[in-house]
Amino acid sequence: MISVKTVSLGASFCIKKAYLSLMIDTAPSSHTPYDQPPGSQEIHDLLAYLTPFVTYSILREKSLNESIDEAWNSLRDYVEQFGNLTNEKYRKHRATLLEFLSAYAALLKWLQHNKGLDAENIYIYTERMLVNMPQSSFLGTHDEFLPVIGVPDVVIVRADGNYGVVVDWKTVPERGNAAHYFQLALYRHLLQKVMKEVDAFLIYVTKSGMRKVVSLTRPLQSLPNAQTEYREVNEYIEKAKIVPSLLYGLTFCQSFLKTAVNIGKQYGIQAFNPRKGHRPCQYCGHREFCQYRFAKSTELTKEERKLRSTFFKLYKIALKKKSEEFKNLVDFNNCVRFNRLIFESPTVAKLEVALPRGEPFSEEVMRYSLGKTTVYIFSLNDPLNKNINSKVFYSPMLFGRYEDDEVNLVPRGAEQMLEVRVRMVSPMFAVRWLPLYLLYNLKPNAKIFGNILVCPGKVPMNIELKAVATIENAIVKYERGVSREGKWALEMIKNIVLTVADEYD
Amino acid sequence: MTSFYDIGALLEKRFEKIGKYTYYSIYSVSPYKQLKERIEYLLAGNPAVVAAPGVPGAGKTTFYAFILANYLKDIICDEGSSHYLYVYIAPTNDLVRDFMEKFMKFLKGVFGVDCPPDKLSERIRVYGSKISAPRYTRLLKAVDDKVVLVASTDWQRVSARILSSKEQYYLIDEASRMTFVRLFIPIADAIARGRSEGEIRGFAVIGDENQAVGLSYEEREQLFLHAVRKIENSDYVDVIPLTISWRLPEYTARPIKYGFYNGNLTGRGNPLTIQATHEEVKKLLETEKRCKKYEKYIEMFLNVAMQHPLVHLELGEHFRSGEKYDEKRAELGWCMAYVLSQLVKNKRISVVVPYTKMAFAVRILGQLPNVVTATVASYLGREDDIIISIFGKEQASNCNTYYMQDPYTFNVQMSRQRNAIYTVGSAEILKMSSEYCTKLTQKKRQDRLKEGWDKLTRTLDMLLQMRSVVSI
Repeated sequence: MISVKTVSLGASFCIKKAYLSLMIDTAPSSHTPYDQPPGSQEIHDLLAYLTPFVTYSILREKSLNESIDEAWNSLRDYVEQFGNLTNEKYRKHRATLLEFLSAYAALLKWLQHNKGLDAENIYIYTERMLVNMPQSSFLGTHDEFLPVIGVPDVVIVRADGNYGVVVDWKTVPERGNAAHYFQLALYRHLLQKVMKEVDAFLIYVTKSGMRKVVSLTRPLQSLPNAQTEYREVNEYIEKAKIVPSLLYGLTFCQSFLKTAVNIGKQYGIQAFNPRKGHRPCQYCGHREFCQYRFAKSTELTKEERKLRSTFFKLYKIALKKKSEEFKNLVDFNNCVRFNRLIFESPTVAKLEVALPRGEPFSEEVMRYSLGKTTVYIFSLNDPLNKNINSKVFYSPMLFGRYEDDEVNLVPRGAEQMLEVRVRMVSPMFAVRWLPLYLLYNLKPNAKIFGNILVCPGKVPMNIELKAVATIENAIVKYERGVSREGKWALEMIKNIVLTVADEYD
Repeated sequence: MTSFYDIGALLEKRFEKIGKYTYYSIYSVSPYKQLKERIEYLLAGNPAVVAAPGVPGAGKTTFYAFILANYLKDIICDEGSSHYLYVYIAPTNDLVRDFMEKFMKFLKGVFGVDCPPDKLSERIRVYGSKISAPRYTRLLKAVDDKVVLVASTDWQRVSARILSSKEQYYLIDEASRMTFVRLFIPIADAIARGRSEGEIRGFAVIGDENQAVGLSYEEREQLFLHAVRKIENSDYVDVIPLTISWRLPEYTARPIKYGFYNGNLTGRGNPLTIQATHEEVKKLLETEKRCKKYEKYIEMFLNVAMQHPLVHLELGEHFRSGEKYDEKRAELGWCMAYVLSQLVKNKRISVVVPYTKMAFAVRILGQLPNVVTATVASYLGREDDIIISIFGKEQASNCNTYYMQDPYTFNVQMSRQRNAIYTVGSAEILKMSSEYCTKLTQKKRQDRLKEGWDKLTRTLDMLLQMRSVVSI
């Protein structure tokens, strides 16, 4: 599985850089690259917490200035307890948050007027994970090879499931932002698998004072609190869809670069070469590593050749494991159904199901024994999971730890009620749990809290892969004199790798 | 229903006054005296590593709680910021909660510290996935200048939330798999070489390699306690074994004493024998139809339980093949818990089983007063008055069953009782499997596993030799 941002980087800028980002850059358990401006992650997280409340307030004609503080006050205590942000951080970023939300409020008003969105007929999701698996055809080939995971900042879904809006916040200056257009085009493409019509918007607020809404699907009239721009991205998606295949080729076939460059050319996908002095390479953090990774064998020293070929074997091992993990990200064969999800607290969801009265050890009851395991929670009433049975596109509402040690099987009339609980286990996931908890408090009877499917799964992590890539990157930089940090350790690791290479030979 | 631990309530709780000299006298004799002195030396700001391998029930949590309460009693109610941070880390939410209760008991009940809960919540933080504090939410927030004490289920939760620069001292309860402590090994190594730089200044770790479960062969080598033993020759490192179990009654400790601890365990817990008449038991079983079919077994069990705090029910069959639950054992275990919960109403009972599915099977039979059902893995570091311990798969099955893969789990399952333990399963078959696997495996890298199988065999041998075995 590849993050939508990596695919966008490959489609908009350089396939080689996307490959190197895929291997090195991404934080192990998130889909956020490290190279964001300082404070950007905090702003994104705060916006995730605030947006659901603010959205309903704006659609109910309340003032933004009041709504933002009201939203924060309704969540502050929970965020400070269960997340990693504080009131000081909120105060620090409040002006920026207000900038973003002013532009967003203007956009919302426009959507209310033009697309009929109102507080009663929408679901609002922040930091929602979208998963798309390769789509197999009847003949076993891939109809669409797009194994991606994306986490858009905001998804608004009209309850009838026919219309949706995706919004992403951008704190970086509007430079080289074709990647952003690809990113949103991809989110839109994924959402279109379950909704007829999806609009996509980027909201830029930069330190230079720019506040801008870029529409990627339809021309926008002028908005009161932001500049507007329209970018046509309809053709972007075909180009973006090529990128995963190229990245897989580069990852699994040692001499795939030439093929990748040739295929890429047909679609306008670039591959810059630092040896040829291509201008973008001058500013690329992966310049040294790129030269080594994609060099012809004759351009490397004997030792570098040996290192590269050994690392390639290590990647293959790590990637094979990774691919298996992602293939089984959600174990759809062992899912259990519940009638309803009830938040007992911001970090505990109680799940209830009514079962027919019968023997306690019946298969019907025993299948709910999943133990303490990571689970993904879906609502079958959620428009985003309309086609979950196809197992191609799905979007979990939450993930957490299923704990059947508090199982309760209580007789109730002709039935028996079974209850279990799912918990948030790490403060890192507060950004997913708390906004949903707030939505639950605002709309406890919303349909999406019924008809629940709970499936065991894996937490997507790339630790082994990143570890191998980081070591290789460090050794290459060390060997080429770019960095002398950790000389002793790197020398030792290099020797270990070369010894392994001798063993293989 | 959700078993969240309200730590805030502990700040408000009134604790009975207890004489501090009881504890001073316990901790003034060897080996606690040396351990106390070394940890206090560490807490005073001296870089050091202190390790104490301790038998089950050695009083790790109580000891840490006492040491910290004693050390912090004069400063915990102060105003102003603290440059020092004392961190208690344990593997489960239960242990963290238990530590906090004991810490508050010492602070208020023994040392008479009487500052308001609000003030305490400024100075203390508690982290864990089951920890709550609805009235004192500050307890769960980030570590700021004023905080002096943190109790947490893992180090990552703490490290991500320390906002100000502080010298940190860690008291670790390494009761199980805690892979995070690997990060501490190089720091401990540096301290042992007299080079303590950075904010982490020292550690005390109390643990038991015989209770470290769920570990692969390689992970076992990475246990912090194991790593500290390798550097124990340093002037900065002390290893002080604890061999007295304040929890286990001597009779109930006998199988593991000779199985896992080479006789180096002394049980000082209080044994319990059951008092019941035949009529009482009959009446109880009549009201629970499900238990009627086990009437004979339960009567045989109670006859022995009236004389001994350990009873083993030796079943003539192994665990159900191909499943992670066994209906007969689930029902028998539940019925034993039911009868005991009615006969001994002032005691708490835990049914401890190997698999999550087995725990589920017992639980769905119905909730009983004062009874919980848990897996061995989730029961690490926990204890109860009465333990009903149901064995898992005894058959060898290519030596990859629960006990064969990790023989140390059996030690955990046999060492949770404060007053009495009742075991159900086939010790005969399990012993044969253990002996079979020892003979079968010749690979050198499995030495550690063979060592575990040997310990398991010795434990089962001892169990079968005891007078309180009932064959059914």
